[in-house]
Amino acid sequence: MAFIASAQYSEESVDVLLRLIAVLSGEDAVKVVKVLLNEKEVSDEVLAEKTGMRLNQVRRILYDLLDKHIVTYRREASERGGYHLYIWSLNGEGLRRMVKERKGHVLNRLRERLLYEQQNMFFVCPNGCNGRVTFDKAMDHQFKCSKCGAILQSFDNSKIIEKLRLRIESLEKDP
Amino acid sequence: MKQGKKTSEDLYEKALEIIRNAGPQGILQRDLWKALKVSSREGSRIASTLEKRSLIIRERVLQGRFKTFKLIAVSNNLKTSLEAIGGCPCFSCTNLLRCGSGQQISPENCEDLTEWLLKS
Repeated sequence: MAFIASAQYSEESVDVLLRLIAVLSGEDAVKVVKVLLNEKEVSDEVLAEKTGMRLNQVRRILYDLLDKHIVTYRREASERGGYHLYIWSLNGEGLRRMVKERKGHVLNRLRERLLYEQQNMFFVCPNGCNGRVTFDKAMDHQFKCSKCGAILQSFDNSKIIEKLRLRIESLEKDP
Repeated sequence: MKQGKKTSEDLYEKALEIIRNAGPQGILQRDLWKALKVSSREGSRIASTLEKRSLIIRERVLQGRFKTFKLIAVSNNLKTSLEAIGGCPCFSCTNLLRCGSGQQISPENCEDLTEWLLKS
């Protein structure tokens, strides 16, 4: 089917994609998508066979993925007649749209974090007791660690700011 | 019946190719059905189906005194698109839509995000 771009996904991209699908539709959906990534087009019966799941379970997952525009189908009349075969494949364009939408949310979260990093000073315990604390919280405890009492040291977050800036830049370039 | 279905699928593919060739500025729906040499009714149905399949975006525009749609193909660079995320945990986070500054779940105090940021 020409609608699906036969893009060769890199290992990293596949990993990101599968993690996202696990979040959106569960681990069973990952099994289905893995088969669809390898096969261009496949019927629900073959999917059930390859994933080792029951046919009704596979169909339920496929309808869920269809609602989320992750997969698509075409209907074919059966050679024996009387019923239709549903041939499923990944919906490349739908995936792209979903990724784009999610990237927009990620970009906003990273911008919020960047602002927080730029507007605050951070302190850490030299013994590594707690995580970072902000200036206000450190002042509340007289710049002492709330666990071991050691004097807090200032934390340089310039690398974090730099990493956030770079990531925001690359997400803005490729929204 | 089977022959009719096949012709229709071919038309969708041809329509999608025309829309993709039009680039990011898109093409007017009436130009599409003229190019496909089909009726405006069929052209509208093809565009609507392509939109339902998330292959194109339809924007309502006014052309002179006629209402029509501008059809724009959805970009197709998933591979580079995923690489831009660069392993950021937010992308596959279950709380992404609930997360926000000042919320219970916030990017400011997210441990996963901090861990990723501290990882060089």
